[in-house]
Formats: sequence, C-alpha cells, structure tokens
Amino acid sequence: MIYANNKDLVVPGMLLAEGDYINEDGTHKDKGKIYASVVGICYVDHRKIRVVALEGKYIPKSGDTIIGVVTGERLSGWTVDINSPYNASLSQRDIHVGRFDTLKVGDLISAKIVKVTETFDISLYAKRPHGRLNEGILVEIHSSRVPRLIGRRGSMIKLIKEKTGSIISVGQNGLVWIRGGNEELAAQACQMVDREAHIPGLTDRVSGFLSR
Amino acid sequence: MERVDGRRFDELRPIKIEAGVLKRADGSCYIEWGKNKIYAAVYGPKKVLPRHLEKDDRAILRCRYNMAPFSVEERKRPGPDRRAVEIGKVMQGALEPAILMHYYPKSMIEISVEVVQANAGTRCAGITAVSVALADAGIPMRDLVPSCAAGKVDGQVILDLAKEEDNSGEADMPVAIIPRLNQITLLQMDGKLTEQEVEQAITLAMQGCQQVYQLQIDALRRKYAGAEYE
Repeated sequence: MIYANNKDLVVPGMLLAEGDYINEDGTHKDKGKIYASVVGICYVDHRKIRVVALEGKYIPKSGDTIIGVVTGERLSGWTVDINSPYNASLSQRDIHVGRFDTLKVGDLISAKIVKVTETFDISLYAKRPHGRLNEGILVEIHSSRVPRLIGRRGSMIKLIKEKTGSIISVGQNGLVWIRGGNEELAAQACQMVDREAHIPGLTDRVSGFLSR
Repeated sequence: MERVDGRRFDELRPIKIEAGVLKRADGSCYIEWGKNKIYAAVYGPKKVLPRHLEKDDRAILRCRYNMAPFSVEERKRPGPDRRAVEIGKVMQGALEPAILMHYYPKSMIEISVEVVQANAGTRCAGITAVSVALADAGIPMRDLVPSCAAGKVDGQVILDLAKEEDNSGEADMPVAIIPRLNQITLLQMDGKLTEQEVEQAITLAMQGCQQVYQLQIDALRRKYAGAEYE
C-alpha cells in the first residue's frame, strides 16, 4: 500500500508506504511502515522509495568528486576539510604534485572519495584528472543544490561556462571552483542558483541574468 | 467558565510559525504563540567541540535556552541562570528521541533558542520551534515534536495557560509528544493535581499537541511550496 505520490513534498514523520517496499535515502522503516525522515521530494520507482532532501550538510559518499581545503600536514599525507562534519585524509602517494613541489596548508584540491568507513574515516584519491587547483576563486553553495547547479545532463553548468568563459569545477560537497573568464559573474550565477533553486523556471532566469 | 482572553477550555492561543528566517543558521524558525515570540536556530551536524563529548556511534545534541533581558516585564539579568540551564536540558531530552542520531556518528547538532518576548509556555513554544528548525536544517528525524501545556485554573483543567492564568493557577503541565508513536518525550508539572486531573490534563495536552503538529507541517509546506527537482 502506497500513500505518497511521485514528486510529492514530504515532511519528517509522514507515512509513505506500507508493506512490500524498499526504503532508500531520506526515509526510515519502522514496524514495516516507511516514513520520510527529511523535508524533501518523494520519488517512487516501482518498489523503491526515496526522498531527496531539500536541505542538509554534505555527507561524504564513496565515488563522489569533491573540492577540499588542506587543513593540516601529517607524517605521510594531509588532512582535508571537505565542507562536511568529517575531515578527510589524503595520502602522499595518492596525489601527483611534481618533484620539487608539495601541498601546503590552505591549498585547494579536487579529489575523489575512494572509501568511507562506518566511523566516517574518509580517504581521498587526487591523481589525474584531479589534483591541486591553482589560482581561481572558491564559492560555497548548499550541497543539496549541487544537482540544480549542474542541471539535467550538465545543462546549467554548461550555460554558465559558455556565457562567462570560465573554467568551473563543481564538487558534490557544495564547493565550486572558478578560474578565468568573468569569475565574478560566474560566482554570482552560482549564488543565484543556490538562492533560487526551488523556484521553477531557473534556467531562463540564470540565462537572462548572464546576458544582461 | 470564562477565561481571561475569552478562549474555550480546550483552545490554543493563536500560533504563527515561520521556517527559515535566519540566514546564517543551517535551520531556523520563528514562532509567535500568543504573546510569546521566540527564535530557534539549528547548527550542524558539525565537528564536536569540546572533543571529549564525542560519541563514536551517534551524534550529540546540545541545547541552549536564553531569555532576552527585555523579554519579561521586570528586566531579567542577562546570561544563563538555573532555570535556563534546566530548560535547555529538558529540551534536549524532549527532542533527542525524535532525531535519528545514529546517522551522523562523531558529530554534534547545536540548538539555540532565543526568547524575545515571554508570556508563559516558552519551553513548549521553544520545542515546537526547534523541531521545525531541525527539519529546515535537513536533519533526519522520526517525526516532528509538537509541544503544548495543560494546567488547572479555578478548579478546572484547561489547555495552554497564558501568563495571567499561570500566575493565578493551581498547576501547569508542559507536554511534548512524538505524534506518530503517541509517545511522550517531555512531561513536567508544577502545582498540585489529583490522579484523575493528571490523566485529564495529559489527554488534553496531547490533543493540543496534535493541533500544533498540523501547524508545524503547514509551516514547512509553506516554505517549500512549489519546490521541484529533477
């Protein structure tokens, strides 16, 4: 028995389904009934039910590409702040920085999360095409709005790249790195997406903003 | 019986809830409950400070309740006092069962409740506001936690005492519940009630909580109305 429709707005504690269904992200099961645990949009795919959260901090997942800030040096690696409640660690052998160069505290890196343990010990991998990000500016948005910034098949980010001529790299953790072109305009566009993510007709408005 | 503000015995004061009012907080809520005016802010989950409070298997919840010096008729000395610390503690106890704390081990959720204007029942209004703020911060929860008080004035059990009633009344009993499980997470009482009156007051307060629960849901829906995602 299913109580929620596809693309419904749900709030925590709302009963979504009962019986033979599989609960995924954003839901929890109690005595055979599935309830929403966050504010979000409910998606029903055959027997699978999930809720995509509209808010929330970034929770690391293996396979994600993120942007981080080096916060500390250790014996054979670095600790990296990835804009989440947990720090990540990067081993020396997992990054290529050249023979006479090294990573310093405060450097920006793009990296892939390779492993997240149960206690949230996170290891990164930052060899090609990842690695240190030189120059450029960093913009922070909500991690829940990242899919919106990228858009369907990258349409939104492609639009911003084209109109500003910048190189943009978006981390799943909500950090956006922009270099070259009109950096300021690109940053404003990202912040606009962040602010107005839930209002329909976003692509048109961003396009209008960039053309102005 | 006629109440001071002309309400029925089982009627709440007018309540207005608004989610997402503070820009720098991860989640926030403003509530006007009769003459109470309260801001709630949620920060987190974030790294635990001080480190020794860290739990390996779940998040920890820290609550701060503060009354502004101008929130009451006679100026209140600023800073935390015995009462504020106690209310912070009971709020933490009331909210923790509803949050899925094991989702974020080794992290901390910080809650701050700021009472701008007080008129009896601030802890109930505070808990109600905080649970909306928690949902607004995207923290996974079993359910929202509505809260509401019942009490006894002039020998009759009534819902949601206002300041004047609280001062002249015989008893006041704040209750917070998890509506879906029908479980009580906060139950306090000052004053005297007989056994039947306690039963009566709890039932009445729980009915009040159900009404508050609907208002919480409405507030969240209002904030995100028209939201759509790919």
